[in-house]
Amino acid sequence: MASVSVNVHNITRVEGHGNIVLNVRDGTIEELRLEITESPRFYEAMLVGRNWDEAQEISCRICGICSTGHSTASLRAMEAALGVTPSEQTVLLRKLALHGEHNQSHVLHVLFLVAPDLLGAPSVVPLASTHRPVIEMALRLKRLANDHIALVTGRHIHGVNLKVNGFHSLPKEKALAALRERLVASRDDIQATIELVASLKLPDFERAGEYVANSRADEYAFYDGTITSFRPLQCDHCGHTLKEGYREEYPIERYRDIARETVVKHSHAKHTASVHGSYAVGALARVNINYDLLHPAAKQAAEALGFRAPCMNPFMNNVAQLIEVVHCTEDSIAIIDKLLERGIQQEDTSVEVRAGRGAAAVEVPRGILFHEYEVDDDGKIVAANLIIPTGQNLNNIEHDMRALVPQILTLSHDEIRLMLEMLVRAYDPCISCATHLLDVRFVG
Amino acid sequence: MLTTRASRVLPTCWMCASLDEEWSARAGRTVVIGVGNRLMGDEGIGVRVVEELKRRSLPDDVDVVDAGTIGLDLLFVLEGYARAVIVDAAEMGLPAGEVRVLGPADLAEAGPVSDAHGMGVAQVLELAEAMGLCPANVVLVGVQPDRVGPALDLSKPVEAALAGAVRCVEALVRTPGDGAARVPRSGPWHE
Repeated sequence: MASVSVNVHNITRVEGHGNIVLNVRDGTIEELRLEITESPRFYEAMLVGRNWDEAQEISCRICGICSTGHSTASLRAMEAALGVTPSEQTVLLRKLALHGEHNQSHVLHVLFLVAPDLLGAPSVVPLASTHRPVIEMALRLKRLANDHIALVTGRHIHGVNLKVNGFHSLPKEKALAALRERLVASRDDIQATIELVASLKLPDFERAGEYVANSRADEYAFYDGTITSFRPLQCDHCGHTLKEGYREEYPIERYRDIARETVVKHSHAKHTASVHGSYAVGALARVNINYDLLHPAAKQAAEALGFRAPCMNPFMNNVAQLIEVVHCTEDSIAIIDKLLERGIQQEDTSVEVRAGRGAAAVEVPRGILFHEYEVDDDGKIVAANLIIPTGQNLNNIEHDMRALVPQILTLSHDEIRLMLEMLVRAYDPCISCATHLLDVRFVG
Repeated sequence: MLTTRASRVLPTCWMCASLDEEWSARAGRTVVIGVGNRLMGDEGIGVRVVEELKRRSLPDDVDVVDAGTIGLDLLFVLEGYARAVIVDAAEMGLPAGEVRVLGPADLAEAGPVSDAHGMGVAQVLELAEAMGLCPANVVLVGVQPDRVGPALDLSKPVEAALAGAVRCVEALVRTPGDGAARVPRSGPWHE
């Protein structure tokens, strides 16, 4: 029987510091951990004592990739606490910005971070010589997504236009029309990306688990919705995953019932579990739960990519991200059409401050993000709680590893190591989103 | 709230300008880019330096950008410029608050990186170079941090180094021409 010891110190191409420890003796897993070595998060403590209108400004600095998502969750939670209902125009513009963020994050993940694995390169840099057209295309798509976010939020990162109950500054209709043209023109690049990813081989591995995402009856939910859990049924005879499953819905007030946080010894980041155990969030969870509401072009892409919902292969999260790029692009075009038809209006964005408590769940690229605030009569934040997607996925990644390892023990040590790293990367984890230190080596 | 402003007035959505306009507007100019997370104590020194620079009068051909926790997108911020000065906290094994002018070659190669989305400054510069998008002259101003962890303020030694780091960048951007040969490399900053 195989004995394997794998110790990956600092998984590359993920955010933050993450280590994988695996010890197998005679075919039995003795030790398997995904260690998180990054500092615990103290953002809640930073928010307490601040004014209601500062929460978004601080939250948007938590992550460089999910900056708009943190802003959106923060604004919606604060609006819930203050009893504010934003206008239709505000909601449409926020949805448009969020689509831009999903596109920029997914393009970055699929074409810059995962593609090197599938194309057999150690990082994206060698691909600039060996697959130059792919990198040029990736940069075009990334640039467009950045411009998309910047048009609505004022900057592509740490946006300055978003605020409670509206916007500091509204985009010009002419600029929206120009973005629409570029989104339409990007369909060719997206199609080429689909063809590229469809030609690459992803590991064949399945584990039936629980998926959690926002859902709505009338649209593919990103901005808001009901927290929804889905656990697929499997055929008793052959184990085949059925389309049917257990579906449970939780109102936002009960978000702590789904994201039940626990402290584990080997990780500074908390683990979460629902009453059923570990669960997955992110693109794969969203597509599994909301497949029927995808844009028809996104469903076509799913078919071209061999994706059938519900899909239990965590490596297919990359494919689900690409399916969402198609959906976000097409839905952005539809949102811009709607905005141009009704015209961009200056609106009253005043806010009446009162004491209250409110929570919000927003789908950000890596999954469902919860923000909750309590403010006093003066609008001062007296309590804050943030639960990030990666924190929710960590427990599930460990369970996936436990299921995967026995299936790959015949592979070489290096292949096992690569497979485990690829599994972690498939979840697109953001272990830190926080530190960004230059590492300097003085020569001579 | 931070806004991206420069010694000349940039449009609100500088990323939205068409590429041609963007590049012609950047040709021959210098960009100073502050990188880091303001919520992580000394890690935010790069952002604090550019906030300070925005209050000062700089040469007309200098743009100043607060890039925050940027990763790959650094490439889009520096492309088209003749010169880029990147300001960031840097682990150099020096006493806290030391300011050094560095070249890209001083950065440890992208191995295990902890930067946003796995794309550290070193790797982005390498990719920009490979794609022909890197300014001819890139210098980094590194400040040795004392305490990197959740905090909105800087540690005492790094707070004390802030003014010197600002003057260091000012001196660099006032260096005429492309400055490539004139900029001190990997040496301590002496005022």
